Amino acid sequence: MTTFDLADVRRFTADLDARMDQCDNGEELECANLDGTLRHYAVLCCEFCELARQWGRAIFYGQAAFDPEVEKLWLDEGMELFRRASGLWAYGQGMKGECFVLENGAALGSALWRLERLLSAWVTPKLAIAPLARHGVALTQTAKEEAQKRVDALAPLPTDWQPTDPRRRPLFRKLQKRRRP
Amino acid sequence: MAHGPPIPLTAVLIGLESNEFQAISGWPFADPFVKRLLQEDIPQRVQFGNCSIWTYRDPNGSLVGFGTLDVCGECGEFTGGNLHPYIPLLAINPTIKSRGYGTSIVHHLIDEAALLALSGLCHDVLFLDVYTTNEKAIRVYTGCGFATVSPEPIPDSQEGGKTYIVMAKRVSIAA
Repeated sequence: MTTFDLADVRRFTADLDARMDQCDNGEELECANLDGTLRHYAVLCCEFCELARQWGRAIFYGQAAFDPEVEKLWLDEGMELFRRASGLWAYGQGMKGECFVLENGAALGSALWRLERLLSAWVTPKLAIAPLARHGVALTQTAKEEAQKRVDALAPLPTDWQPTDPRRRPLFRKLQKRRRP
Repeated sequence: MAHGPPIPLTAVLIGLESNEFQAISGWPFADPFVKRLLQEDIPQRVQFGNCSIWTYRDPNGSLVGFGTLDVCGECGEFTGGNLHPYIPLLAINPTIKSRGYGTSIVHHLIDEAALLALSGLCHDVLFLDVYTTNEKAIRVYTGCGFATVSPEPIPDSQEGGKTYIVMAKRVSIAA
């Protein structure tokens, strides 16, 4: 998806609908069991969130125009996906037992959490206020070359640097150890 | 102007639906641009981008300010097209007397940007943009080691021709 116009988003939501229906009907090979269905819905939730976020970013950065019909399409599709996926997740939770291992229940739970966060705190996208987001670094080519030189010349943090917040130092040490050859 | 070392602050990561976000959104900022950024740009950066918001409390538990950090591509032309850390906005509670809180907040955001860069999640140069009229903020950023990388002030046509500069700081550690 590149333009995020109404036709473009309609194609995406129609495809998502079809993939939900296929899985619900048990027609797809990957949905031949409950765990596969959980995985399939986790993928659909992630795809939805990622594309809806891309759409929001495109408007925020002035790369796409806002269309209220497109927003309604995202919201309706998102709510429908959440309804089906959360119902499936709850069913999976009920089926869990000693003899019934559902490895993808957690994946769907995590994907549902992301989807719920996106929908419950829904933000209608609009063009950014901050100038950098609106038009990038608006400099002449010569000035950009000079800016690049200045960026390249920025000095790193000193070797004995550590986070000012003591609560972050354990993570810092762990990351540093991981980076060392 | 701050006197003495900055007071240590406790940073708390917050969400858009939190009471704290509601509280900071209601602060009577002298510059209406701050409120507009906080209420319009920041929620979009959180929902559609990778922006985090922290509030800061002093040792008495008072809410003294907030800071935001995004990982985005605004200055990607200087980072080889890679995502980089970026400070969209920070502010001090306008109803209190600042005691170097701005410096403490910037240092915390540098911490977080350094951790992101060290994790390999983004480029190691932290950017921000600031209007040239905001001399106090520029002094704070400079004091925290930021350098101006835009060779000339850039006019913002949507804000009455106000000019801004781009500042940056490397947040990786010397080898």
